[in-house]
Amino acid sequence: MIPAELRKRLSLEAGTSFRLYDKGDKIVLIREVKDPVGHGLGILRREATPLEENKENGRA
Amino acid sequence: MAVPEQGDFVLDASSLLAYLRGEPGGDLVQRVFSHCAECGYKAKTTALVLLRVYEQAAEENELMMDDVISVLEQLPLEVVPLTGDLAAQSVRTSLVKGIKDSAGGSAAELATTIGGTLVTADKDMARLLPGSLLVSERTGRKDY
Repeated sequence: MIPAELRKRLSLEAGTSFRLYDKGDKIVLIREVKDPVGHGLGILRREATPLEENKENGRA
Repeated sequence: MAVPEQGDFVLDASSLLAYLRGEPGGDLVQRVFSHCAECGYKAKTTALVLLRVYEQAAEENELMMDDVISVLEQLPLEVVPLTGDLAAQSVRTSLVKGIKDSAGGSAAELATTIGGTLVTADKDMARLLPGSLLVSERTGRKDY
């Protein structure tokens, strides 16, 4: 269960899908994007975004 | 350059990296993916190609690796496992065609086996495998 405060901050709605990655001592959740084909173009040129900007980019 | 309307597409590391970097030709790879998504089928690559892409991506932007892996998993892209048989056929194809890297050899072998179109950003690779879809004019394979 993701805490309500975090759900609100990240604009998470019921039914939001995530990818789950095992990083050894932690688990990473990445929100699935609506348009992966468009999202992937140039992704290597982007910078990892701060938490407060992630909700715009489909990243949890 | 037009995207062929039918047939299987096989992507090599150079084309996938052009797409992920947003380089010239990456937009054509995007169109290949869009075409596959619209038609309900998947482009193909090999596990060895994917490993090369991940290695290069991690070298260029390690902080984005989770995002890169996530988006690649969501694309209409089937990753063909590298079996012993594919490894053996890949090296034979590389020798016959003069392909110098193993990942490229595996992509060429897969394209040949399934009668698909190799999508590449490597001019040398396109020359070695006639019928390939060349998405840009990069030469050489050291940095894909």
